Amino acid sequence: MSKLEKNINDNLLETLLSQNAVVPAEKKKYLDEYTSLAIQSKKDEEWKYTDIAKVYEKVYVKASSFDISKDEIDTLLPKTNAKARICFINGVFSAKLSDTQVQGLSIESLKESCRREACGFNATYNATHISKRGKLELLNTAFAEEGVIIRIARNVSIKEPIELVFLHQGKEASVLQTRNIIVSDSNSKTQFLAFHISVNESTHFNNIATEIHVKENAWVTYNQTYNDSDQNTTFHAIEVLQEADSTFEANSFLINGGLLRNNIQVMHNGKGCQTKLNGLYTPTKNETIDSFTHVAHMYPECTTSELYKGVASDTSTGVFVGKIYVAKDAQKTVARQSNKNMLISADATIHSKPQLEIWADDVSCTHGSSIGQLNDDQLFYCQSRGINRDQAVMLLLHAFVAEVVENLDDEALKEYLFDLLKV
Amino acid sequence: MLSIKNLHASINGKEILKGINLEVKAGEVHAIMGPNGSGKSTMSSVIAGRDVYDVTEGEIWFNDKNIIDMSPEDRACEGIFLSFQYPVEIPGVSITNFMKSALESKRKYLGQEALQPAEFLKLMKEKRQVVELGDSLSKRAVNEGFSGGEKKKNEIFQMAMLDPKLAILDETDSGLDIDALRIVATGVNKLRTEQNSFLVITHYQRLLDYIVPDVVHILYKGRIVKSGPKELALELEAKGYDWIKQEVGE
Repeated sequence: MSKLEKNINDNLLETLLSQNAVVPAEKKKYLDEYTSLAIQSKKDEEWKYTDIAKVYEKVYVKASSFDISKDEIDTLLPKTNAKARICFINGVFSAKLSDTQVQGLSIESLKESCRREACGFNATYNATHISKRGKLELLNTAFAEEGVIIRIARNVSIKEPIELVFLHQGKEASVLQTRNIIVSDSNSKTQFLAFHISVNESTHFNNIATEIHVKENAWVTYNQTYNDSDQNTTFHAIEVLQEADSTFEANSFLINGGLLRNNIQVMHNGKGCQTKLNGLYTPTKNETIDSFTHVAHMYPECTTSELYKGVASDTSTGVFVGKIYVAKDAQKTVARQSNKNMLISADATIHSKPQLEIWADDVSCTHGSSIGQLNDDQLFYCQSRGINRDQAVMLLLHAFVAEVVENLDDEALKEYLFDLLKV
Repeated sequence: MLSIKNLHASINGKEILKGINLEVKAGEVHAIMGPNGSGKSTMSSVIAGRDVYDVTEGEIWFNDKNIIDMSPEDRACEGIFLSFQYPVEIPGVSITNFMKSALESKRKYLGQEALQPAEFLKLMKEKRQVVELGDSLSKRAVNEGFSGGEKKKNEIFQMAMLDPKLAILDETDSGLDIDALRIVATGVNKLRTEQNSFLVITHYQRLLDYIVPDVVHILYKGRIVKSGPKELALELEAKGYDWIKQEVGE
């Protein structure tokens, strides 16, 4: 144990223990596991570029709610054709601000589920084994009481997207733990639009865990956007379990947030799965935005395509770590991974680490990574047509990020994103 | 229109232009010919304002303004257009959006109102026909995946859209087959008026059969060593550049 690790007092755990008088027996083992693991440091391969240790040192107050109306929420979001909304205020599910009347969709709060069955520990909870991923996932599993279980019935295709709206604010830091579980039954199809927004200044630590179980031949699209204040910290672990012939697609827009770490970890649990992961991270000022993805190909004939792009400005740090693991039996795997980055300031940093680990011998896998600056020839070409330099920079940045944004089909959402991206 | 006086320019400390003098009047077409490495492309880039070149001495006057300290975009808005020898690909930016930005910038600079969308599209359609550029091409990203001929047609199309006072055609003929060359040259001729001027930079006489110059200049080692009527181009074609070298005493 290094000197640094020894000196860290785990205020995070102390806070949660003081706020939750009794840890239920079913959850005790997760707490024990949590305690047995060391705090993440730069020596951990998965945390090499992002210093998360400070979340353990901070002193937290008990989370409180704040008032906001449905109309006010509407002004914070793009006008998409979404029919359902699931809203969280400082990590707590608000039935009042949610709207969930959609045929084939059932939504139950984690609290209700706990009342019905022991802590919600049924076949659903932790079915993706998210707790095995790391210390913060264990913390969420041990303590999270807030969240929802979303079920999409068999053979149901919901055309309009379902919004997941995470709103937070507060000058005094609290730990907000939310646990959401999405179970998409066989042959179903849904699209989620998740928005993480600091309504005003937010200094919280959001420790969010989302489990997504995509059953046979089902299709889940999970689009997520982060527009958080620079004092806010978020760790969001998304754990996806895909059954045979299912498709999981995620489009991640990690735009603003003081320290933002987004994990998407996908496990194939059957043949013929398709995984599409696209993302954009655009740290500015002193932000650190870290996108971590891991796809485990365990069965034959599955495909993954992944495109992540980063734009780092000022003194910010952007990170892409993406691993595609291909097990010995996962023959005929097709995997494409690409990471492209642009540094638009001399003081910004990008870490890019694309990885393929292949144990099968009959596969087609490629990966690539680039870090560049704005192209002078392109800028001069624009200028020679009368477009001023600043506008030319915007035009080129717009084109750079558009490759990811244009994956979406909703025009209002695209416009919202281009506005947030200021291009 | 354009008056270049004793222009010296260098890149990374190496002097390329060593005292260029040139006068181009409204309505004139001047051809600049010369062997490879004589400074032809440098000259066109320096007039357009590319800052990788250091202008160490001399002046460039354009319509009674010394433009030597002017940004490339302001020069463009003043009415200088450079048709690139190697047009740059800009993935993700459609020609339509690109031209819209360019035209808006220029009109704003000149204190004119932006065109209405319908007017703009009408103008696009009209100017595309100048170089027989298809509708589908204008929806594509600027120069991305274009053939050599398409890229050069796109340059002339942009020129037609921006309606410059001075157009510099930097080796517009290189890499073109005879059909594309004819289309491009015909396009240029359609845009010739009494008010605008052309600086046609070329390695070959071929283009000058179509775009007939008033004056031909021979650029050699960073200086204009000989100027003459259009017949000078034919003479060069017949005799090559060796006699020029002898004439300047090498």
